[in-house]
Amino acid sequence: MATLNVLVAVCLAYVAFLFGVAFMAERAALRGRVRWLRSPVVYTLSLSIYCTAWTFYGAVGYAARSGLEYLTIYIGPTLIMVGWWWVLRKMVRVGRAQRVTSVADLISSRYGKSTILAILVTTMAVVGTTPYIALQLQSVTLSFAAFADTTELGGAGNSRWTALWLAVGLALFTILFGTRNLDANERHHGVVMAIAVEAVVKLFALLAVGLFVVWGMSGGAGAMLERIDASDIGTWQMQGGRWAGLIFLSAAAFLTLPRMFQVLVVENDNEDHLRLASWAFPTYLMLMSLFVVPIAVAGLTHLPQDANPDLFVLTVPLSQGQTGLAMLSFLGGFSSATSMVIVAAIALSTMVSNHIVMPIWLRVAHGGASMPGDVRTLVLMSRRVAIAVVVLLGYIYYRFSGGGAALAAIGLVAFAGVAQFLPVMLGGLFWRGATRAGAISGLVTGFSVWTWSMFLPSFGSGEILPSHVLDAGPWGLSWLRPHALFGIDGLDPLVHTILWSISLNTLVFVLVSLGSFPSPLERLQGAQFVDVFLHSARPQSWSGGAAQSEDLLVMAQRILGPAEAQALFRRAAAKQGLAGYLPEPEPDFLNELERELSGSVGAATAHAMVGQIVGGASVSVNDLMAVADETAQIMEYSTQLESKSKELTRTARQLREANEKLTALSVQKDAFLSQISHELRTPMTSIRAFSEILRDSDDLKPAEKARYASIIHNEAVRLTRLLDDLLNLSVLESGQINMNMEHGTLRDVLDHAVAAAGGAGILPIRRDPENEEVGLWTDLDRLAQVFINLIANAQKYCDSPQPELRILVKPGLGGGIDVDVVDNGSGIPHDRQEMVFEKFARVSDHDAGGAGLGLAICREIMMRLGGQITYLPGQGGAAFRVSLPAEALATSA
Amino acid sequence: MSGAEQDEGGGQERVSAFMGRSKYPRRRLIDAIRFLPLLGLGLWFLPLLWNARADETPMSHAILYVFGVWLMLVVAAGFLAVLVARLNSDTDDPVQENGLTKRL
Repeated sequence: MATLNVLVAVCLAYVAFLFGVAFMAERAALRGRVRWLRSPVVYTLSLSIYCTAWTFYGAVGYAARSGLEYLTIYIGPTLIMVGWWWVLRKMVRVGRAQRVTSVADLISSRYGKSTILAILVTTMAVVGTTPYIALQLQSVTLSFAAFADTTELGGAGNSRWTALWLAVGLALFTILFGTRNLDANERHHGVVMAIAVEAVVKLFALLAVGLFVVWGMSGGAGAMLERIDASDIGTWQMQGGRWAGLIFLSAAAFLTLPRMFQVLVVENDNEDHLRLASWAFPTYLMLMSLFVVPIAVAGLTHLPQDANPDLFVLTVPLSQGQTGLAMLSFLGGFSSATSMVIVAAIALSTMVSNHIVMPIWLRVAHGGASMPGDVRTLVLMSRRVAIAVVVLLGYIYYRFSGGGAALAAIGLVAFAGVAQFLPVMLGGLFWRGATRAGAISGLVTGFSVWTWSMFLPSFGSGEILPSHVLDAGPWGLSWLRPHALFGIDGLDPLVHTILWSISLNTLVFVLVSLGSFPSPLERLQGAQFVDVFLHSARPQSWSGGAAQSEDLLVMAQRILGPAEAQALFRRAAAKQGLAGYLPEPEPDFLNELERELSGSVGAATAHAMVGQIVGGASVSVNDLMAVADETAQIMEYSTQLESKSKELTRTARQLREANEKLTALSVQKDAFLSQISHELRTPMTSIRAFSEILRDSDDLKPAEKARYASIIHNEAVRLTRLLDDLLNLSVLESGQINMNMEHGTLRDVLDHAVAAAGGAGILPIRRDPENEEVGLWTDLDRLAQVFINLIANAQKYCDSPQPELRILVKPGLGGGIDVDVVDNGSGIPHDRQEMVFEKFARVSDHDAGGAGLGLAICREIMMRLGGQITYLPGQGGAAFRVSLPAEALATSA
Repeated sequence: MSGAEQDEGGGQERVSAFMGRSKYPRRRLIDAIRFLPLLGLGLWFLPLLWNARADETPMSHAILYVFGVWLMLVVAAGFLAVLVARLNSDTDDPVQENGLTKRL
């Protein structure tokens, strides 16, 4: 009685001590003294939660039953740690780069942040860990019972209460230290420190018992070895399949157990810590297993046949009256159990809250992440509940499994369950072709095989699976017998399960991966995971814009806490060169925010939450392609802009030209006014003068009279002609003109024009008679007038000493013909070429008697006839091209 | 597993211009670290051959062998880990340091 009371007191004192350690560590972390808390030694020691009560009690029982086979459980992790460069280094790097919060997060994140996969892995992890937690409860209960037996107290009913109280106590401790805060990196300084201390306690306890057994009871190492050889387990007997299978299984479980992942990857602060752990942790494992066989042999030889080998660590010192040592041993076992339950519960509760509760909440709560309220409370509450549920599940398993099965057997059930993550995990880390569909199929396959062939039978024959199913298979299908799948009988059940579950798991995973096509996000994440050493920037970005910074801040405050969220936002704003707390929702900022959030709620949830606010604008490759399209559009747009700007330049040039022309026209108009007044005034002046002479002078000779009258007449004719021209032009310009369409040939027109202009006498004209035989259907008179004007101009302005005019006929554009009228004079200066077709334009100032209306009239006529007249530069003289359209041509004259 | 090798190799190649003489021993050191678990696996699988022996192997021999392998592995791993750390800290070349530990 006194012993039991002391035991309870010691337990409570120990828990209080752990509590103190965790509390101090939290305080120190708050003060920023993380360096000491995060030394590689603490990291290495925290890995020791691999050694649970299973190791502490179970290994000795295992050794007593099966010899050295227990070593496989420690050889696997040793090989993994020694070969840290292969897998662990990459896993830790990926875990840090992607802010992975759990093994489910790692797998879900790798396969495109898949929520389904996260839920699947979480569920499997909970199911797989439950036996393990039951194992811890059972071992502590047994150890209590061992003490109780010696003091004649307790019994079956009592042990149930022990287990329940233990479960409650552990749940409380875990809730207190595991969910104190929502740390950005999901790190728990207090808990890690506590389990590091526990690591020392259990190693110390086991070593103490071992040293006592070897040197206190057996008289030294040599004598001990002799005793071992003489005992029941004195020879090396090993089934090769179990040896290899268990080494593989423990290595796999070391990587995939949620609690191991928690301490290995999530709580890892610095990749360099792996270097120390690579040899220090194998050393720890070696020391933990060193005295297992001696203790087992001591138990086998000194204790009665019916003693439970699982409790030799406790009962051997007790049988020797070493109560103090037994107490230490009890504490070691107690600390092994508690540290395991605490970390496993934290790991599982993180997974449950991040991957099950949060997605459901996000879906159920419409408006989701931007709704008011504190998500932190929700997350923390869900974690607390999850911890309680996980521990409770362990208790229920303990009650149902009857608490009778050997510790090692239960532990192996759990190992084989979580080992199903291995193919998907390694595939995700090393094979870019692994897809989400493959991962889901592989996991479901492996887990189904495990459940059927190992988990359900582990409750005992007839508990869940009826015994006839175990013996003959369901519905008499013998190839589905849980212990002889596909009719392969006689295998060790454990090897049988490992073989089938892992191989089918891998096979389905690989085949489905090969046959399915990964989503864009999967491919990006795959590249990120597999090539983590090449690039550590995150690929998936947010296309901001739609995101409201304020909503993001509201959400971030609820998850990270106001102070931290505001600091983050202010930092981001400052980085963008903005004052205040609201940075622009640029992709960089959104990625950083998502990473921060994923440290608290997991990658998939963080992605979903940011996605909700940004408006689902999560960038998959589809989006990237859209962005690429957008880029193409932008490029097209810029091309358009460029062409528009070219067009603008062109238009501006045209405007400038028009402006120049207008200015010139304005000058010309002034000139026209003075010109017309001059043109009108000159004949008017002479008419007035000579008519005055005729009126006032009576003594004029008839010849003089006639001369004066003819001058008056000539001037009047000239006036009339000028006015006719003006009238003609204005009629042509106003369009009120009737065309007199006739058939004729170009030669007739040119003949008429040459004759009308005064014949070839004044100016020799070279013509092109052959080509002139072109039938026309047009207003021949008006066309002739054009040529008359051109020939008359040449007669007036050709300044060559031997003037000559050429009239050339060529086929023109669009089936029409061009008639070039070219003289051999000095031509029209470049700056005047623009103006020659304007009214009253005169090329030279010398008085040639024209009013400057001829070419203007020509232009108007040609326009009416559907053709045009242009100045043809570079012909060695003034050259005009008269273009007649195809419509004006007629085949028959 | 060759993926990791290529990754590492690729990373090395990229900074090789600044690595100088220290690159070669470091690569071989990493090879040794990679080889160690394979060696351990082979040595620990060796006892399975004892089953074929005519006379039974005493447990004490098995214990001494298994723990001997263990000790050897631990010592070798510790030695290599210290060497890796020294190669990282010995060199003044910051790129070298980035090369192993701080390439994040």
